[in-house]
Amino acid sequence: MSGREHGAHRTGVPKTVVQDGAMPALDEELFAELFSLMGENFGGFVSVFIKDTPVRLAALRAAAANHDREQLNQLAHMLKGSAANASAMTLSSRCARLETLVRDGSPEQIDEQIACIEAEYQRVAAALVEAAR
Amino acid sequence: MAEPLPVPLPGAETQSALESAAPAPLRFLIVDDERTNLLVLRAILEHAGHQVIEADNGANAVLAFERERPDMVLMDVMMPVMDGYDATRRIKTLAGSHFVPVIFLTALTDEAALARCIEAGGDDFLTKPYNRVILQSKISALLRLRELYWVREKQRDEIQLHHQRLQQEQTLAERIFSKVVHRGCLDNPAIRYLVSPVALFNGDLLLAARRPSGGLLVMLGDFTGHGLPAAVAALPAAEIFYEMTAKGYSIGEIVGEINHKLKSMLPPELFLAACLLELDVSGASLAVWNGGIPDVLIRDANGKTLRRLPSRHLPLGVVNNSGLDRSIELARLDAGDRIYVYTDGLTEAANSNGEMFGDQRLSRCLAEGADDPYALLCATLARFRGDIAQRDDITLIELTTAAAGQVAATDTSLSVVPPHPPAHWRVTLELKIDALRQAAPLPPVLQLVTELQALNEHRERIYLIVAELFNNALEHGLLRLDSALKDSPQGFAEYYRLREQALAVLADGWIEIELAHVPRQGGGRLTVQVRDSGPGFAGQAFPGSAGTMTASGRGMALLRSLCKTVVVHAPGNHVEVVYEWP
Repeated sequence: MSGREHGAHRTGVPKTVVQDGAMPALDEELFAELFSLMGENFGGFVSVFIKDTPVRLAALRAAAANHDREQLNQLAHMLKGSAANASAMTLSSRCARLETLVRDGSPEQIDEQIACIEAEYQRVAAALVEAAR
Repeated sequence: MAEPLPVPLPGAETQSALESAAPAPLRFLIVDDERTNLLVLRAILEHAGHQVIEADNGANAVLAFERERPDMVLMDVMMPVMDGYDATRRIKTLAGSHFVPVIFLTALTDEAALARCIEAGGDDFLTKPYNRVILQSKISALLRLRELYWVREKQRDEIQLHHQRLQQEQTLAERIFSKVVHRGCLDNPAIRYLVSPVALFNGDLLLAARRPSGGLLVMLGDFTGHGLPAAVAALPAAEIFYEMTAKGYSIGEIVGEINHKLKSMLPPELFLAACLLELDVSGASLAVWNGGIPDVLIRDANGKTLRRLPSRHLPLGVVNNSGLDRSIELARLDAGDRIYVYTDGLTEAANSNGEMFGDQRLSRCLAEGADDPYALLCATLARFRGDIAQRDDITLIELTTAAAGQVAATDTSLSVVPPHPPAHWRVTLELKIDALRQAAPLPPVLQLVTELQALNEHRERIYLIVAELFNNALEHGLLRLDSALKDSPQGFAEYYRLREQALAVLADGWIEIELAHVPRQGGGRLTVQVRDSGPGFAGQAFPGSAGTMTASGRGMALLRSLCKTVVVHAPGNHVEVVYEWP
C-alpha cells in the first residue's frame, strides 16, 4: 500500500493525521519522515506498535497499583522513546511528564497522568491505523 | 570466555567505505527491547545499504557480537536481563584493541546517565526519535575515527615487530662482538678496570693481550659516539690489536695498522681516541702511545707523586698513515707504581647539580687512596654520581707493576693450531743494515718459527730469547750503547733516543740469526745463534754479564734462566744458546 493515494500532500502524508484545534496526535514533519522511511513496511510498523504498546500500558497500570516507582519510571521512559519514534510527540511528552511525577508526584497525580496517556494512545493508534489503511 | 577473540583485520571493502561514493555495507548490531525502535533503526540502516543484526537485550547482544563480529553497535540503555552499560563493557572487552564503535540509543537527558554511557565505553549518543541524517553523520564520524585506530594499530604492530627484530639482532651482534673484543686477558692480575656502558655496545674499547715475550699490552679506545657504529668499527681494531700483539709487533706498528684500517673505513666524523700501553714482563718500564685519551697517570707507591703522560698524537682514523706519528713515550717504573688510564667520561661524569667529577677529585683520590687508590676512586665516583643517568661511557683501568709477568689461567689470546709435527730443521736469517733500520725485524722470525713447528707453548720463551740476543747484538754489538744509562728514569728515555740516533747514522752492519731444531724424545732442542758485525767485547765485560737484575742487566740472567746453555764466543759478537724441552 502507499500513502500517496490518501492525500495531495507533497510528502505523501495523509490529511487525517493532522487534527484541527487540539495538539496533533502525530508530529507532521516527523510522521512524514517515518512514513517515507518505512515505505512498504509502514503497515508492519503500525501493527507492531498497536500490539506492543497496550501491553506496556497494562504494565504501567499494574506498576502504579503496586506503587513500584522503579518499574513505573522504566516503562514511562520506554514509552516516551517508542512514542517519539512513532512521531507521536504529544504522547511522548505525556510520558516524559509521567517520569517527572514518578520522581516527585502523588499517586493520584500518577494515576491521573496514566489516564491521560491512555487517552492519548487511543488517538495515536487511530491516526496510525488510518494512515496505514 | 577463555581467550580474547581473534580480531578480524579490517577488510579492503570496509576500509574503502570513506573513499568511494557508494559506501560498502557495514554490519550493525542493533540492540533494543522495543520492536518498533528496532524496525525504525533497521529501516534507516538498510536504506543506507548496511546489514543489520538484532538483539532484544544486553545478554543476547554480547552473544550476537561474539558470533557476528559486527563493525558497529547501536545500543539501548534500559533493557531487561542485561542493560546497555553492562553489554557495552563486555563488548568493548571482547573487541580488545580493535575499535568497534558503540552508539547509545537513548531518550535520557540527565547528565549522570549520559556520563555512565561514556564510562561504559560508549562512543556517541543518538536520541529518540531517530533522525536519519543525524545517525548517518554520526556513523561517518565514527568510521573516520575507526580508520585512525586501524592506522595506529597497524603502525603499533609494525613498530613492535621492528623492535623485536632489532633486539634479536642486537643480542646476536653483542655475542659476536663480545667474542671478538673480549677474548684477551683482562682477567690478568695486573689489571683492574671499570666499564660502564651507556648503550648495549660500549663506545669505549678496552683490550688487553700478552706479548709473546710475556709483557702486557693494553689498549683503551674511545669512539666518537657509541652504540652500533662504534661497535662495528671496534671489531677490526680489536682484531688487529690481538693478532699483531700475539705476533710481537711493536706498539707503533699496531697503531699504524689500526689507523690505516679505521681511516679507510670510517666516515670523517667517526674516529677513535686511543691509548696503547705496554708493560714489560718485569714491570720495570712502560711504553705509551696516547692519541686523544686523557693523561696517563703514574702514581708512586705512597701516592706522593703523580707523573703524567699526556696525549701527544691525533686519534686513530683521522689522518692518513703518512701523517701519523707512531713514536712512543717510555717511562721507567719503580716497584709499587700504579698506572691509571681512563676515558673522559670519568672526569666529565656529572652529579645532580650538574657539577663535573673533574681532575681534582681524581688526583685527590689517587693521592689519598693509601694501599688501594683504585677502590677509593671507584667508591668516590659512585657516591658523586648518585643515581644520575650517565651521558657518556666511563672506562677506568689500573695497572700494577708487581703482577705484570703473571699470566691469567684463562688467557687464550695466543692459541695457535700447530700446522706440522716437529722435525729437523735449520734456518738462517741475515739482517742487513736496511733491515735493521726497519721498525721490527723480529716478528717475521717468530712467525717463521711457529709456523714451522709445534712450539706453541714455548713461543713466548723462544721469542724472549731471540729478542734478547738480537737486542744485545744490535744495541751493544753494533751501536755500542751503554746499558748503565737505563738505570735512571731520565737515562731510560735518553737511552732510546740515542738508540734511534745511532741506528740512523750507522753506515753498515749486519746481524745473523740462526735457528736449528732437533727433535728429542717427547720434546726437542732449539739452538739459537746470533752473530753481529761489530768488534765484540774483547777486554770488556759482556753487556749484562754482571748478572744484576736491573731493567737493563736482566738480559743475560734471563737468558741463563731460560736456556740450558749460554755460550759467548770470542770476541763477544757471537752468542749461542740451547733451549730444550720438555
